[in-house]
Amino acid sequence: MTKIVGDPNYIAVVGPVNSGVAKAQIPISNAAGLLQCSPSNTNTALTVGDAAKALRTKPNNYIRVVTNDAIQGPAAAAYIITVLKKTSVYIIDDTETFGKGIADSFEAEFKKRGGTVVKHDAAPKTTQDYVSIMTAAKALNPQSIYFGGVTASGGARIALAAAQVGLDVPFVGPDGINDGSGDTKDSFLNLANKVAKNAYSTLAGPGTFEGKDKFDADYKKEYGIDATGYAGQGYACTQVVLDALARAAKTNPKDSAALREAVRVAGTDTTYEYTLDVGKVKFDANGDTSQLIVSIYSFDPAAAKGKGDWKYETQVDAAQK
Amino acid sequence: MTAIASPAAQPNPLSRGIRMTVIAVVAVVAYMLILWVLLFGLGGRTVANAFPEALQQTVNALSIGAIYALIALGYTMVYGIIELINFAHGDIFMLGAFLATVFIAGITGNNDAVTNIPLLIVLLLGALVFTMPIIGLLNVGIERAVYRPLRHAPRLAPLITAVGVSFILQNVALTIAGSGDRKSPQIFPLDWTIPIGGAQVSILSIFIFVLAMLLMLALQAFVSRTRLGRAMRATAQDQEASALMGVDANQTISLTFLIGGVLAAAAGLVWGLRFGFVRFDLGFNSGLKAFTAAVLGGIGNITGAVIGGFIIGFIENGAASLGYSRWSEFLVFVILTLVLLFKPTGILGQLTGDRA
Repeated sequence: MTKIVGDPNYIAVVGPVNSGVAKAQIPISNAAGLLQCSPSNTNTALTVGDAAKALRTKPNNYIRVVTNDAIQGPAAAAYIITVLKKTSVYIIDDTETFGKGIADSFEAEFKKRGGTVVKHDAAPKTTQDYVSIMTAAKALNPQSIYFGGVTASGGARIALAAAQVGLDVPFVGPDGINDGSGDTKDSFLNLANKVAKNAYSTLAGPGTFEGKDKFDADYKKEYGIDATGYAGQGYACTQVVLDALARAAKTNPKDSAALREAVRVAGTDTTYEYTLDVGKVKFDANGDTSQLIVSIYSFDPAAAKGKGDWKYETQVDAAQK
Repeated sequence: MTAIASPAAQPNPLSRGIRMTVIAVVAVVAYMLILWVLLFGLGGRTVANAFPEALQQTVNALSIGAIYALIALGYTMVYGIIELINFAHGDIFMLGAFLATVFIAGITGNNDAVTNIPLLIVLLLGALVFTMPIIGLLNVGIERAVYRPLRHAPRLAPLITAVGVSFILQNVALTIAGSGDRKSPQIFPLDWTIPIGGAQVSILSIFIFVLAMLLMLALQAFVSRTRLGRAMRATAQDQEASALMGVDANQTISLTFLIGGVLAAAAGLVWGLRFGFVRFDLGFNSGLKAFTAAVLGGIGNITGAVIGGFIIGFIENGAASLGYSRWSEFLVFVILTLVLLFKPTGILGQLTGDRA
């Protein structure tokens, strides 16, 4: 990021993918006044509260087209209670910024809705023996499991261990495990394919939008792989940047530094309504989107030519509560 | 000088063996009972529910402990004979896990459980016969190529080199296998369990424990009863004097690395069977825990490494059982620190001159 802000040819950045990376990047891009649009950062502390303020020394430069974990975690809790009709849950997070954050917001909502949290345990990604942890979980008789984290920090390992001890209940996780079909290298479904029949995941954005079929087909044609997870959001961010650039150009900035600042101002304009592939969107002063939609996915073992894939189930719109 | 434990030198090895076994059984039962009490005391279980859970967790602890013990043996034997902390040993274990995975997945072609018992046995034996010599010889090769030229160099040189070898092995695995988890076929059917006292003890756990025990007993017999084993003990005690007595030090040291690699390969196989994944940095954490186990038991001491491995397994399991998984590593290292503070030689170790 330091290299990018130092090069006047860069006027905006699409990314990053991970919240932890954003936490490190925002102070640098903010000081340089470089517009950043993330397609997938969902950590609440990046935009809201004192932690977010601490990342910024100058006016806001960071926006994101997905909603945050304060919306994503509770959506999963609502789905487990109202649709899956499970009233108790065992929560395990990976102790990291994203995983713990979303597990906490999930827990609060689950309790608020009258559900029972039998235990909220945490296991860092260096944990060796998940079987012992799942043995303890099974003894508590939860009706469901919620995992706060990503595949690389143990998502699939926990699902495998749960199967090993015979804990056969819905396994629900955030966008961190919605990372591609069973055919995608390193994905949750690829690793936990055999035991994923009861798995659910969420995405902090609309799982379907107008023209999604065409988008998916075009994506496949262009890149040769299936559009997964936040591909639509990545495209939306690019639309945001191009839109901001077009409006910035109208102000006739005199040099590249002025152009960069004009793009930042246009991009973070809280009054402007963008028309993106995922719908009509405004960004608030923190950089969060007005679109409070979380999509729920279940496992479809027949998809992706029998390798299994996430199947869009429904979406929860927190704006329409 | 550190001596590899020499039970043959004890007045009566058989009675010592029986005594050790009794102590081990008492310790395991004590752990189970304490866990039982803690589970209904702190964990909010009912007295009746807590018992099968405590039993189940004790079985889990024996499985992970057996894996740590197998790896720890490689650390302790190498330290015992050339006083080198072989930091690459964890990665040798990781490569063993990968090789076993490649072998089994290559034959079965999928990740399904194998319910055909003869086929399962053939697969397991095949995986052992395939991985053990390769990993063992790789370990010998590393010693020959890298550590031997540095044998008389200052102590720090081989130590740093071992760290370097560890990075090389990790990056080889990273390059070939990529950075994510890799599926490891779990060929033991999950529903193969034996009901004991309300718990479901999986055949896999029994297999892991029995395999580890057989290998450890074979090692003990080898070190204490054979000519080569005696040469190992002699070299460990005094390399120069044993060389004067006609013991080939290079051959003996190679043998030590071979055995360490073979045991690590077996640990790698059972790791994949139990946890269903392997990854390139697996050796780092497992290696660190196993090294801790070796130090805890008294580095250089074979029995100590086994005891240390099980202790680490039980500590981790205890933390996980009571819902404090995030503290398990903290606990392991606190206990290590305490042991080193109050008994710097470890549980069974002897005082050594200087440590690298």
